[in-house]
Amino acid sequence: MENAIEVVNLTHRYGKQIVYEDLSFTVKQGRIFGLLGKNGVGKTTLIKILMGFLRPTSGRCRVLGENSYNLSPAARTKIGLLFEGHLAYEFMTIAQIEKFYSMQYPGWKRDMYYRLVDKLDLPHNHKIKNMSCGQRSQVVLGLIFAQNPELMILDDYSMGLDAGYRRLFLDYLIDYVKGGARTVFVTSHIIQDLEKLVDDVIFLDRGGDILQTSLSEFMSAFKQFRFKNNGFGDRVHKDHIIKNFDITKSTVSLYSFEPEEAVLRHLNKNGIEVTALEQVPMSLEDAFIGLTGKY
Amino acid sequence: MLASILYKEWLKIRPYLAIVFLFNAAVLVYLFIDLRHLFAIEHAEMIWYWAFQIGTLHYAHIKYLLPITGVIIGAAQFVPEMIGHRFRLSLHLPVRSDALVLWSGLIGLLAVGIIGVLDALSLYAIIGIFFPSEAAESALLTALPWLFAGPVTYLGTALVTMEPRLVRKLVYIAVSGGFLWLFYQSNDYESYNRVLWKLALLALLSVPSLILPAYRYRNASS
Repeated sequence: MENAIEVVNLTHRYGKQIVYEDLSFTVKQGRIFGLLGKNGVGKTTLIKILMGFLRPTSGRCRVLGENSYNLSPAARTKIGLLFEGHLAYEFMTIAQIEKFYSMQYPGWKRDMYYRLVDKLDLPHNHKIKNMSCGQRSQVVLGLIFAQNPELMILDDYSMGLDAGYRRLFLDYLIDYVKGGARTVFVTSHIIQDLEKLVDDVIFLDRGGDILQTSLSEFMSAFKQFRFKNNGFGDRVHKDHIIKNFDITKSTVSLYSFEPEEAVLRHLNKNGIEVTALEQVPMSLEDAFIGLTGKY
Repeated sequence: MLASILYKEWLKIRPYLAIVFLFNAAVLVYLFIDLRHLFAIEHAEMIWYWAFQIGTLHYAHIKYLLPITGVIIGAAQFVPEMIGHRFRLSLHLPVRSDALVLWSGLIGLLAVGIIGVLDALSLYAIIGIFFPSEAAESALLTALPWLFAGPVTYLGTALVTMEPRLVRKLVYIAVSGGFLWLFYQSNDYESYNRVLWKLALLALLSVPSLILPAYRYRNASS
């Protein structure tokens, strides 16, 4: 099995509202995939479909070779799932929740759980309902690592985590992937974290338009150019060359997958008299905003 | 798998089990005190006349005891699962979801059943202190429909709590309420003797219905 996740021609609607139409992508085993998109594009809906909590309107979705809507218990043993908001059984204590999950998963790594959770410096009889959001998230992430799954699906893992623990978690995650044919499918609002983490990215836009690429390819192909706003700024518009733009009083910023010469030629052809473009280095977050827009 | 489900359900029920146990015990102690008071202030032949000629029930205190217990145990088990959509955690466990829900339900029914048996034994013992053993047996048979109403309210609470859609919740409340009503149609001694086991079987057959709201929850978790 080469692909951990296969989505083919997936269409999903809420009533008349189309969330995706003919969405297709694959997640190869052993890779870390980042799913990026603005609020409301359907990231959580996609994860619900992947985990069988939602039946798609049409299309095929397979996770670890099985239909996502009908995952067998054996397949679920191999999938570590982090729900948005770090859901946990709040009536349990730190020790009780570990005991409960350890009975469910044969490859349970108790030490891994306590290595992460003991950093909270809380007694093991501390109830989860009495924890802060950040503390609870640490417990939940500890449980997922202890499960030692083949595939991790993490829906906004960074929610509620402080910078230090986020860094610690990323270190653990990278070690986890190095440990064998492990796959991670992750969404996060902290895009700079993903820059250090992911091998591949999927940019999801409203209506299910996607761009799937490796991070390195994307970062080298997608460019930001800037020129002085000499009064031609209002002639700039999105098209097959210019993916997005941002205009201030003094400068015009353009985002494109084309090389500088092609962009310059395109601008001149559209009556925008520019003699030179300045290429601006971008972080993944800059590139994400450049591709999807600020709003 | 069963051990882990049992463990989780035990953790949820445990604090409420103590409360319902004390509640049941308090009502039974009150029944004992009430009967003792009755025998202290009235002639025995008058009590006999009330009980066996007029048909006054001297133990109606326990009429709604187990149905209330069923609601509390059902809520203790299923409300924490539904708050914040935590039921999705359970549905992601490496267990068949129908087996998960059925085992959870059977564990809850077992808890209600144990309290019901304790109630029945206590009633038999208390009535046996003041009346002949035939009267104690008769009290047990008279009270059995009220005790069987406990699992009915438990199942109704579980169904209503798990069901994601309000309209269906109302339908489940109506169906469970109607079923419950069947157990309270008569105040006469042993009036359910001929239909009791049929009603109990019907209640038992409704156990698999727990799978339906769980299945619907999975589909409606969006």
